Amino acid sequence: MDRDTELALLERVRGGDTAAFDAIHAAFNARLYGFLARLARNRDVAEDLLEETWLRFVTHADQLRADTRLGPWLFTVARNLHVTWCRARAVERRAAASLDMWTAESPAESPFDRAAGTELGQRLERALGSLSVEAREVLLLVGVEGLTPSEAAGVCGVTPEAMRQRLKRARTLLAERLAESDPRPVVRLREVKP
Amino acid sequence: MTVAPRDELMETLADLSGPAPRAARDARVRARCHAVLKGVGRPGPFARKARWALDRVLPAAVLIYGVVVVVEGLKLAGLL
Repeated sequence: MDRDTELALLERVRGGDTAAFDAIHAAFNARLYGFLARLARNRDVAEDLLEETWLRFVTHADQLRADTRLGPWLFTVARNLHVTWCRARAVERRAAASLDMWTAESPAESPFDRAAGTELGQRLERALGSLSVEAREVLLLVGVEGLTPSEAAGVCGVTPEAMRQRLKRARTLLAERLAESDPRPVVRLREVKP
Repeated sequence: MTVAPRDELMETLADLSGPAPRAARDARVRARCHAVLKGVGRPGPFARKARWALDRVLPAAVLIYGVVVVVEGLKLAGLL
């Protein structure tokens, strides 16, 4: 969605136009859901947070500035809701055991594994899932959702410099986890002949 | 090589696709949002005007109160 279209749609939503809302919903819904589901690692929680994100958007629509950038605004709300959810339930450690979730160590295929398609995609999903929430959210915002580091810094409430450092660390961690999960060295070992 | 170069890694991340939210849930969310946009549960014009007025009157009242407190304080101190 280009910027002019985004601004026009936002103006219409501020006036209560449901068709404009549908257009914005269509543009961002899957992205927000992917972001929330990968953060929360739970489909039901992601859907709850997604619903709340959209409700916040429509209830605050008439208070939004006309030049609001929808992507960063929506991701900020979604992230804040996830942070609140984490705080309320102290999820990161306990949820994997108490809820029907998948984890990095889980042998079961996650919905993302099935959707990822390629072997590299599946390994990436597992590697992402094994990272801390802080590292994961940075990679999701910049790597998957295509936000600029400055926009992602705004979403996470840190300075652009801090975001660049966080991104660098997260990328290194992800590469390490990917390397650990690479089956190819094992294949090479088998090919060695006496 | 077991690890893709960084740029390639980020490009691969950008190509990741996830499952979509369930359609039935999506439809319910859209319906709720439409209801909000159409004004269900939203403050009416009068309530919005009242809130607008209150948003301006309250800071002014606090400011006047502050000025009065400072002036009275100065009077008590014998500076006025």
